[in-house]
Amino acid sequence: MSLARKLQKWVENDLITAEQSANIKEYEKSHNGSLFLKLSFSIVGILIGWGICLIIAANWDALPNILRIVGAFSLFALFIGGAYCQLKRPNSRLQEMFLLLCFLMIAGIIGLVGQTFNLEGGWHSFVLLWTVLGLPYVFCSRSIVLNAVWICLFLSGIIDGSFINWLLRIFPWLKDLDFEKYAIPITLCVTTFYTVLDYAAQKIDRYVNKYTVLATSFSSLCLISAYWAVFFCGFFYMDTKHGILTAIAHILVLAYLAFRMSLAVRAQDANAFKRNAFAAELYIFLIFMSCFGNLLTTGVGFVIGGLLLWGLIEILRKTSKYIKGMEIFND
Amino acid sequence: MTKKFWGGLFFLPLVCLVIWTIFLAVQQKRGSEVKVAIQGYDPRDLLSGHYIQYQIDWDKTDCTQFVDNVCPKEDFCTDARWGRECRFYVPEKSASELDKLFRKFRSGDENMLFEVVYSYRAKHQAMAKTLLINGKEWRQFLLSMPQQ
Repeated sequence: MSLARKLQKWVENDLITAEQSANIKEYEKSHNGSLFLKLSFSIVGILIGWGICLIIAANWDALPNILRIVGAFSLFALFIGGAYCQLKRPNSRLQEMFLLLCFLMIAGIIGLVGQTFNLEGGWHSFVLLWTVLGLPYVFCSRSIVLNAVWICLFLSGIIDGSFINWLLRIFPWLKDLDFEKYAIPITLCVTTFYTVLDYAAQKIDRYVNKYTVLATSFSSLCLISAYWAVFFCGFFYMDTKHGILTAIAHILVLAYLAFRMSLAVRAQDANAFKRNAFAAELYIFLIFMSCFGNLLTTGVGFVIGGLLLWGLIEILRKTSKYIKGMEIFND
Repeated sequence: MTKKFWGGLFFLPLVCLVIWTIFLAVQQKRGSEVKVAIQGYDPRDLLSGHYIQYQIDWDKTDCTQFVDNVCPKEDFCTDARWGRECRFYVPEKSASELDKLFRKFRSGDENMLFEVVYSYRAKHQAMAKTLLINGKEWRQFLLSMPQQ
């Protein structure tokens, strides 16, 4: 049900006045889903920033060690200065950007020092040092992405591979499961089945226009399962070099998300549209992250990917504004 | 919380990293140079990314360069699940060429000696400084190789 209809009902039932209804409409019209934009721009920032770092890394063998280290520390100090200057401006996008850059810079400096002095040590020692030193910036940041990334990194540092070894010792039969043999056909069948079911459930819901717990629960379950199945299919091929199969898996995921977005536009549901749009952006980001190759080509790929994503966000932002307009004013 | 507090907190990681880097540089400078022979230990992961993973071949290493003519095995490399892991970082451009050489060396195709020069102080973690192939610094060795 659109907001306009809801407001009309609330006015009719004397829950709110006509003036309040008009104020709510005005507020909703001017309100820009800032969380969606913040999350989207964080992804673009990480992709472009990382890309630039890789392009520099590809060519800096020519620089002497001392110059590299001094350069990296100077850049880090510059970013800290930037974040510090923005302290008096809470919710500033510039501050978020500087905090993110400071956090990434720590990883870069640890890597650089590690390379310069040929330090040994696994993922856990690198990531634990990074997350502990990066804590002040994450603590100060209001970005959900940065905080979530920090938690994932910190946990991965603690768990590392030793946790998996422990799990395999307790459940040795896990080693015998042949995931590769059955996973893909089952996933494809389940995805198709759930997508059809989900589409049918939405159709029924629209025609019946009546809230039923069982149908809603079933629909939610189907929806979650469909997302799980589609993303599983995509992630399964993400880290492999299967060429055509990988491309098909990526197209399947993006096509599904596009399908969900088109349903959201039809249903005039701006929030559902944003959720799916964000999932699509995140997925595109992960595709670029998974395609590591030569430093220079990966760096260029990241920058181009970031710019493409930026363009996509602008289109999605306009579409979500359009949906919001329909949501409010379409009776 | 005050701006000064946040300022101090923001600069703390930078200070920690600078101290760490200086500590490593001093440690590398104060150590004496020792040469140890190396060998590959896992054919699937000889050159992972842009570093060579190796094990020290203590049988081929001259232990007279250490105190009491005893090789201090515990001071070299770090413990990993698969043994003691050692790394030497190489630039991306030379990685594939070194990888080929190292594989040939492992399979015994070519009679080569791979050594790593370490900066070593007794009871301190040794730090790799450079890689030698047949006694030559690895860059010079690659330059002296006939172009294929």
